[in-house]
Amino acid sequence: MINLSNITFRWKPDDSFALDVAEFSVATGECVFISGPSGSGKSTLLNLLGGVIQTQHGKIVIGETDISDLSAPERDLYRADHMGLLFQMFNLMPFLSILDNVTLPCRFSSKRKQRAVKKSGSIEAEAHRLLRRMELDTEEIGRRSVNLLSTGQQQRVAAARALLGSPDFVIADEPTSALDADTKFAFLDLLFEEIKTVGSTLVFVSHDNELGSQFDRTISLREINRAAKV
Amino acid sequence: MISTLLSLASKSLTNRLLTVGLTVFAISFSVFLLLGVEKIRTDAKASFANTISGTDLVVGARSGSVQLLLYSVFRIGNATNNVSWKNYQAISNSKEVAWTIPISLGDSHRGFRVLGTTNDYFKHYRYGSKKHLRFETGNPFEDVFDAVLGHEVAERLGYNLNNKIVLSHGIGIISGNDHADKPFRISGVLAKTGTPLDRTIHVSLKGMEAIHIDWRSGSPIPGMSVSANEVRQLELQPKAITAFLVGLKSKLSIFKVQRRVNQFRGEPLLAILPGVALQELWDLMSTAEAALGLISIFVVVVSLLVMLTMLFSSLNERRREMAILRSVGARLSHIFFLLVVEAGLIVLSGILLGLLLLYSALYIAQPIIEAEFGLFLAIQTLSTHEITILIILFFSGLALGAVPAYRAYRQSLSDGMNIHL
Repeated sequence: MINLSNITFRWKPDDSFALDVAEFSVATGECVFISGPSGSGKSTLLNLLGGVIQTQHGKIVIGETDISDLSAPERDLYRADHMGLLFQMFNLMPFLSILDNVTLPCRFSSKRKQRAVKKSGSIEAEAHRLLRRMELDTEEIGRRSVNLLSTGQQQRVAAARALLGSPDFVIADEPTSALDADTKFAFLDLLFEEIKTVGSTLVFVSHDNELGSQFDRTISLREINRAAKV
Repeated sequence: MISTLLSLASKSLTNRLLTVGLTVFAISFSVFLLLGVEKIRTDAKASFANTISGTDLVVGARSGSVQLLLYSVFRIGNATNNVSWKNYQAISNSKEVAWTIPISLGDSHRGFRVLGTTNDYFKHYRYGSKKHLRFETGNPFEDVFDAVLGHEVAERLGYNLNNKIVLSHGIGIISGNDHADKPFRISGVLAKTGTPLDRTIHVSLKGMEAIHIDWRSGSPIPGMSVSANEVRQLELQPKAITAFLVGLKSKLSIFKVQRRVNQFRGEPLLAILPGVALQELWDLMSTAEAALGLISIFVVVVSLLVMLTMLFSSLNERRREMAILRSVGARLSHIFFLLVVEAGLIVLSGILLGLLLLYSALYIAQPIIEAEFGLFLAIQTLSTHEITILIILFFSGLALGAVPAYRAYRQSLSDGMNIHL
């Protein structure tokens, strides 16, 4: 589960608060949609959840760990071990092959690596499995440069990476905003399907409220963030 | 984790092949220049120092000690004056003297210097680590008109034993101004020494005297011609020689003999210790040497600055890369070391490519340099000095890489996982 209580954050000491949340929880296995236009504190929330930045106040409990108590390298390791992250676009390293992109989290987390190996026998096999689940023909494109992929294909590769090694939490930041209407829903279906089989918890942030109906629960960031500017 | 960073860094670098390649080239050329200058410097020194050993004193007409050394041992330049045979005899008969080698210069054959001497030359002359001269084929002088060739002379002119050669007067090749009436027979060829000896034609002092017997002041005396057979009947005692090398019975008497020669009453003479004169020669060249070394160090610095510029200018467009790495769990320290590793890889490739350039250039240029300048550049593994230079260069590169690495670290700290387009 994810629990935020009484957290505040500002980027610079002189700035006003970017985020001020009294209480926010996500249950284990839940898929939550957070709607938030730009300026609502979206990227601040994601960076806090990912442990890249640290709250100045309050607690962020993820799983059983209060990550606001951890040191920066500990939070980095926690992120590597337990979280899959997915961004709007340009999710992939341009100089790595598709397969290398998907297996990237295993280079920074031995736990993810172990889980991937446990699931499919090897990291590569698990990467292949996930890419196939995302309806990508790995035999054909596995070694290819990511620059040759369409945006939709890139997002599916990124999703496969976020899911590799069965992370407990998947945090997505508008992963569908660069996709057209048809591929958007197809992408979501694939993502849900795999998340449900793994049993991960999904936090999905987007300003595209149309998508909200697909999720277990919808929350407006403006409502929970008292510092929202919009 | 090191292997992950290494693989990420090398893949990122190969992705930017053009800018990275140019940087590597800049570094490799600087390495080439740095080591090349170092190589020529040390090998030139070694080659000079190897030319003569086991000789305690070199005696010639009074001039500068470097000049005496240059013309008597290295066949560079000319003597200003001669040493009379009488005084040479007087000094070589001193009780401290073990042996002497007379040297008489002035003639040439197709651009190679001719040196008149006695068979003592082949017996006593030593070079390198006190190595004696060795005959590849043939023997020392047996007849008045015998010549012993240095290795390179025989090789380049394609001469064999018993071939006849004609010497020219002076060092230029002026047609008609030669000793065609008295050809020399090649009686022997010396083994390669890697010293100016290889480019010298040795003839007997008597032969030298014989070809000049009907000459005066640098040209034949009109109406006077002495044939080669007639000349053998004559007393072929030279009146003067150019210089002579002295070996002493005991090293302890070096300074005593030197002082005696320098204060010789009969004529103004100069005795030098070859090692000391060689040192003076180095001192003479040390400024040029230092300037050359300094320039190559500056070139290295410039090449490292090129790398720094390249790394810095790439940072902004790579913010996305860093954010992705952070999102999959890379620590800030990983971002820092990724950049340091990149700098290390660039410098290392530059060093390796530079070494490749150096050795290929040596391989190609070695025979040319040896033929043109008489400088033998040994192709051998790196000396500890050279390795030290390269290690210093590598770590300077790493240290410099820390500057853009710190910038990337700061950038990544403020960017977090926010992807900047």
